[in-house]
Amino acid sequence: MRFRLKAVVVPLAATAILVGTAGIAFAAAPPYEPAAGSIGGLIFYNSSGAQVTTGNLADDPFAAYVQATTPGRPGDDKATLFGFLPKNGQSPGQWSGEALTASPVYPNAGAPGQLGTTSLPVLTGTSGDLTLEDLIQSFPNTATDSYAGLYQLRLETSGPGQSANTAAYDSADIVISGSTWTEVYSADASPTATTTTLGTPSPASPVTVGSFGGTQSVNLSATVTPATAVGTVQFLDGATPVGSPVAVASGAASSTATLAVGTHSLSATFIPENAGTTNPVTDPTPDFTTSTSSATSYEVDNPAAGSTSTLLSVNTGAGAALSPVTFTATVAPAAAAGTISLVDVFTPTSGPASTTTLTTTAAGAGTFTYTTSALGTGSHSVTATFNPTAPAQYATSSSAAQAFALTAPLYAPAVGNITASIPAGTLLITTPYTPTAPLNLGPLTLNSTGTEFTGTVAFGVAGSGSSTSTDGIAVTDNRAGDLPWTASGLASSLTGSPSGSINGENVGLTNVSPDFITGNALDAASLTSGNLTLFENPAANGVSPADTGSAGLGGTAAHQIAHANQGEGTVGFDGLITLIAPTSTPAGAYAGTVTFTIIGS
Amino acid sequence: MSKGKKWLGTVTVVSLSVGLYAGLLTGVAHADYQPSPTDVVGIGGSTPQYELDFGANGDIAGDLGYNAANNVNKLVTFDATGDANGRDAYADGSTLAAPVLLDPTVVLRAGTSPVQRPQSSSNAISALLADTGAVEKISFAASASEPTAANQTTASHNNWTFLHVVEIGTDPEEIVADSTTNAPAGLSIAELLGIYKGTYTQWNQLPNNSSGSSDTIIPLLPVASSSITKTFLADLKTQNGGTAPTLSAAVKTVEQNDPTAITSLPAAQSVDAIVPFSNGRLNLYGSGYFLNPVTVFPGGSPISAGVKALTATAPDASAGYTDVNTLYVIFRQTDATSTTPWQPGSSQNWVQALFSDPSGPPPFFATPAGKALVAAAGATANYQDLGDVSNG
Repeated sequence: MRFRLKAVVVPLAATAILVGTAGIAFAAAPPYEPAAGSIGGLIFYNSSGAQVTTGNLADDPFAAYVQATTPGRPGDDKATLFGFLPKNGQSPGQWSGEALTASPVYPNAGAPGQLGTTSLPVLTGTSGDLTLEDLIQSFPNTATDSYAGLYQLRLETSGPGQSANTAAYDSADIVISGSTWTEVYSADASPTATTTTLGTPSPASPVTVGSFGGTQSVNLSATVTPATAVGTVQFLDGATPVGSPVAVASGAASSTATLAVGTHSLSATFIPENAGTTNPVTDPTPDFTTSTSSATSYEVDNPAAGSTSTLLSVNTGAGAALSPVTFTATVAPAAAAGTISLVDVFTPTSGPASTTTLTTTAAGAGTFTYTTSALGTGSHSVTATFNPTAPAQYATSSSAAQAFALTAPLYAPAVGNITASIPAGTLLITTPYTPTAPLNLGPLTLNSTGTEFTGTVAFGVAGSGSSTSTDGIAVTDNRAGDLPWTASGLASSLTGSPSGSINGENVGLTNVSPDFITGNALDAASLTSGNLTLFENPAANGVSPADTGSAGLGGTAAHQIAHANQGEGTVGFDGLITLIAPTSTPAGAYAGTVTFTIIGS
Repeated sequence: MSKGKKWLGTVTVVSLSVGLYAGLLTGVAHADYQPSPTDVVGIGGSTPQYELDFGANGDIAGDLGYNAANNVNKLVTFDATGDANGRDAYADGSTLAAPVLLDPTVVLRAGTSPVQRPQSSSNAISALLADTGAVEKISFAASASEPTAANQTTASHNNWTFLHVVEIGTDPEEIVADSTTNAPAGLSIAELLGIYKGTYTQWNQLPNNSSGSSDTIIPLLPVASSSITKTFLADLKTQNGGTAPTLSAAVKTVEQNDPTAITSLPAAQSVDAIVPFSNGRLNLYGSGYFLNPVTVFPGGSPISAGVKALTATAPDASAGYTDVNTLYVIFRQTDATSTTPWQPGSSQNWVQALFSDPSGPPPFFATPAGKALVAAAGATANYQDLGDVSNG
């Protein structure tokens, strides 16, 4: 008879700390895990053989089956489940606990599914076993720290003549919340090493496909040891997966690959189930290591190049020189791609014979027609030759020579002459800023840190559309020959009145953007294609007049602003001109120039 | 053998055993585990000793006992016999005609002197009642008989309220004889009364057994304090009309439940010897638990008891004799109500953890694990919390 008069005391702190509003809120393993003594984990099952990770404290038995993840010792055939109360500051070997079950024999052939056949220890729960409620009553968890609500369950094995090893066992941790237990941690067994071997592909290499560019169906097989390994095999061609992963059954997996012509490097990789996870709460099977077979070379060949035939017919029309003569060549098979060359061995009425290729043209759909009015008076012997695009697929073939003679034209032809020229063209760069209409930066402003005077104004008006009159600079290239050009700028020092100067390095041109003219050769695509390249020239940070550097637009050499690889057309450029003067610069009006140059080649 | 605390708590062995009447003797060592002050220490009679041993430490089939949890505090059970095979030990000069018991000793707690080992149920109860010091040396007694009313009175005088009794199983009592015997297949209680009174001294004197052997019957009987003997004598008394019979001088005293009391006799005598015996002990022999003690470590083959029960229909057409001994665990009621937890972190005292917790989880001996171990020791597991009971 069992009594249940005492209330089950569950620390409220356990709920608050460990469990959220629903499901498992344990983000981390219990603080004592991985715990000494535990060599594997536990998986809990209901009577149907389905894994359970939570349940009621009053469940009797607590779990219908409990499977360890590591084998028992040789000779062991009994399993006993214990419950222990973790204690902060104590090693697991010092914790108190009690047996929850008797020591039933395993394997239990009556257990469902793999539980009835596995060689791993499986505890079969029995009605009348102590419940978790009993355990909690006997060993209440009063902790308010990170140990609150936690219990460790251990499965120990024993056998005839050998008691349990209390220092090495499989274990799992549960947390108690209200009337519910939830598994929160289970040590995984050390992964079992596996070996994967790729079987000899069938048919054996090499194979020849039935048609050029065809594919070959190849049966692949792999063997994984140990045969208990759970996972999939991914067949590979080099690093490329061949099909989807195939589940391993009793250590074997097979698949069919469709291989293209070429040399393949075939292999198989065993991917253990839930590889990389360490918690059987979500990883219900023992882990195995990944293993990959050695690679096997497999060759798929095309068949020998297919023969072709070329037939040539000639329609000489009027039969006179300089009159239309039509050649019709037919290549079989029609799918053969390639070119047709017509070679004419011409023997004029007088003079030496010559050989001329009349045309070399892609053959289309097996038939090729060519008409010429350039054949001279005399004997012609024309041969059509088919040259395949894929010589591995189709062979070259030539027609029989077609001989014909052309008489002199009945009426002599007249020849008219024509002439033309292309101008060299010019390259022009312009700017609207002149001595009378300079680019005025206005009064420079002392910056907030008091270290320099700055001023920035727009250089031109962006988006001026069809006109370049308001752009900072404009380039017009009407030269022949698809020539490049480079636009550059060089700033002089700004001379002050009544005194002082500002170094040209302190003049910068930035935010340069092209202002294309609709319909021009230079357009927005020029930027994306790389035909047009823009350059930024930020002003120096207020260097002194004596500085001899080349920052900004200053120095002695012009600075690139824009470059076009092929610059025909007109394009404007806008941007920002910046002037930065050192605070030592005397007050006054300052003036200078920026010389824009265009260089073509 | 280690004297360290961490040894796993079994205490079923002392180092000496001497064959019945062999007359050999050396000094007794006591290097067994010596319990700590917080261990639970049990003593008891021979009949329930293996049930408690197994409950504490498991059996040889791999069924784990209470101590397998490896808690810091152990359940320690001392056997009644000074030998793990359940045989008695005899002193130098002991003979068949004049056996001299060894009076083996045991160290009940670390740091204490060896004291005489309680060798029967009633001795164990008496020892428990005598353990009135400030620190308990004996936690409980395992017995095949209930405490007497006088025992309960003593317990009350000891301010223990009473002796709390828990039944953990039952064990039939039978008459056994050598596997090769002149005894009939069954002996009724009436025939046994005649044999032990000396009315029948030869097998062929038994009613309806004139064709039986003319050999002299050798009636054996365990010590008077043993539960086997008490049960048997009570049955003889009942058969004798309520008057305790006067036993024949031919009745020899032997260790209870020790088959060598018969099998070690000369063959001419063993075939004629009978003794009341625990059926549970016979079962335990049948399980292969006992190895041939003649063989040095790692031991010889399992031995059989070499005796058989005479439970078939007797020559007088009555049923063969059998009775049942109940196996009890007896402890102070004050321990049952103690508020001192036993194991660190537990809410239970040791009585609640092991034997009796009416308002809490099943104590170990009421769980399937505990019951399986009682059965493994040969008895029929049957847990009942009897409380304050007595008999006699």
